[in-house]
Amino acid sequence: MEQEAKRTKINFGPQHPSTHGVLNLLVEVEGDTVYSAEPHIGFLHRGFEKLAEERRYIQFLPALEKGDYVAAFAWDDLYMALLEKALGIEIPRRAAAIRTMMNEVQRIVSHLLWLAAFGQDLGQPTVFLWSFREREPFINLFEEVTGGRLHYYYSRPGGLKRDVSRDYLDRVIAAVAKFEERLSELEAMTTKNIIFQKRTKGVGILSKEDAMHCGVTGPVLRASGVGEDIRKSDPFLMYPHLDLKVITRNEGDAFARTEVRIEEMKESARLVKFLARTIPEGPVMAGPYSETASEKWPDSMSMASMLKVFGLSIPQGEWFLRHESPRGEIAMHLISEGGPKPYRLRLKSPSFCNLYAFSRLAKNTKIADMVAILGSLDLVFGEVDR
Amino acid sequence: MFDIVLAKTSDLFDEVTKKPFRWARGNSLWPVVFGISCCSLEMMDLGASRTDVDRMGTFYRATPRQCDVLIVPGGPVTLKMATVVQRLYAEMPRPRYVIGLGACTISGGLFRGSYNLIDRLDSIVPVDVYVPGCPPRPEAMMDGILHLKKKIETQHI
Amino acid sequence: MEIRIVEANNLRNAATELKQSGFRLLLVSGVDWVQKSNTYEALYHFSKVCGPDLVLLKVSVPADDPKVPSIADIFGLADWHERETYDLLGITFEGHPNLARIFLPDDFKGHPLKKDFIAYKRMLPG
Repeated sequence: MEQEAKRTKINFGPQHPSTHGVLNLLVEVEGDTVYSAEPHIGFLHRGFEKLAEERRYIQFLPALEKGDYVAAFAWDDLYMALLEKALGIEIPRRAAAIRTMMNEVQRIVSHLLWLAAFGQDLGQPTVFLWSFREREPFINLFEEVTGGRLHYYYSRPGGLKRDVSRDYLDRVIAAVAKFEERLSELEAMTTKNIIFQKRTKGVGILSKEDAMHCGVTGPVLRASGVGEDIRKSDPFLMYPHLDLKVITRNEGDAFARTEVRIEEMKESARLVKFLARTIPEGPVMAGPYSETASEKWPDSMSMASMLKVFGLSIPQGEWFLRHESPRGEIAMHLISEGGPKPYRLRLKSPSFCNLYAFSRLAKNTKIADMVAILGSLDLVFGEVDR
Repeated sequence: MFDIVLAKTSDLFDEVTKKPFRWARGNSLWPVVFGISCCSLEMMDLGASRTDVDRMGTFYRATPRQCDVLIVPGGPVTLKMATVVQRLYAEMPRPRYVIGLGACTISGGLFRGSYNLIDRLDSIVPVDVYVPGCPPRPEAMMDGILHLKKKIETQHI
Repeated sequence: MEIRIVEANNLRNAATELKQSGFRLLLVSGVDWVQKSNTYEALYHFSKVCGPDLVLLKVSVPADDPKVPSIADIFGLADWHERETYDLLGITFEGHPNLARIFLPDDFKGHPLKKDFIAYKRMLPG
């Protein structure tokens, strides 16, 4: 009874410098020890699934990219691939290769942001500043071809909105090469740094059985010993033709998750260089929306196609598709009753599944360790709350 | 009673020594660490080294008790979040300012009219500067902070 | 993708059988078919661990009494997904440890994802 009276329940409120976004944790503490932490979410619930039923297919794309705002291209690509599956369009090889390359660049950018936030949480503002510096060249490259730094709206049903030039691909290769040199500096600050190791080794161990029971996905699952990567198990785009290494670790602690993500960045860099060198020539759009504009703009869609895309309608049926985003497995289920708006569009977000495991991991830890565990799960609340 | 007397005295003092105070306030805006959605990523970029907002005198503080500006980086404010934003604003000591970033604070943005949102930020807190964009570039956010600085120096708020 | 229509009282057996043959749960969703056939449908997506096989279980329940047994003890992932389906659609999951609203405030009236819930009306402040 006296033991119970010493414990206090406090709010790790929606505004806190160490939660990446709006999460409310109801934490039971005594001194510095956390006995239980229960997440409360819903502070960013914008009603995506209801919005999808009210908007046309192409109108929903900007809203969808704001779900996972860190890795927007992964969702862009998944949604368009789902529409292409429903309409029976097969995209040209050049479009598939460019989309794969952009997916991998997005993976690098997203993992760098995760590293920045994680470093900031553990008290390393230098890692924050360095990671943001490394992101800039890639974001500028995205902006050059898609027009957006954070949200792209680049894919269209049938391929891509605009083609890329040979010069652009050379610059991508140069940017990735420079990034690979600088990655060793980031590693020296994180995985090879004794203080970082002491703060993350043995912290937040998720066993294999717990990981499978809680349904976690992505690097969190791979760091617990299960080699599940949708790019390998259920491949999409150009992944069947690439030899991808699935990176796993067995310890399941925060350090293992860090190692998995850093190795994934190296693997992505290698894939981007390979893809940028071997992109096949050809058109970037196929299907009924592929008419290109006049000779002045030979690489973009024409106005007539853009208007047709706006009026896109999908016949009756249901389709399901899953891809791999930097956070884990993303999936969409589309039920259509014919017409320009979906009947039901269901999104699966990996951060929602990973956050469920958090209440298990944060039992009987210290407050600082709880923050490290939360950071290592790589949560983005736009996609948790949808 | 005491705080009313204190407020009136400070208003009088402020009138007497207008300019240096306002200059000081405008050049040392201390924001609260507060991020809701996508615009918060561009706000993190604002604090990073390329567009460095530290040179404007800002110093991000974790608790609203030590801050004078509440930068609300978009993501529309939901019903659950509205009480949080109001509480943060109430906990800030005066003089306090609010900057609303992004289209979602201006009119609800893309998600306007949804069942869980409060479309306009100024229906819950009084806003001084709005920065449009979805998300606004870090340079545009810097422009917003400079607007607030100018507003403090030229208008008595 | 293999689609199986399952009765509500047979759901737990089907889920346990899939778990034992090496499948994992991906998603629990709900669909509102009230205007078409006066039912709600709960969808359960399963995938083979490290493999491309997909199985979808569909459970139909009548609209005036939408109750489905909960599989939150077999697959931990179903815990929050079932809370979300309850919150947005109103389908009740029997045997769930903590069936409460997860996204919306506790005093919100109505279930937004139903087709007769008009979402786009002006919200008043406060």
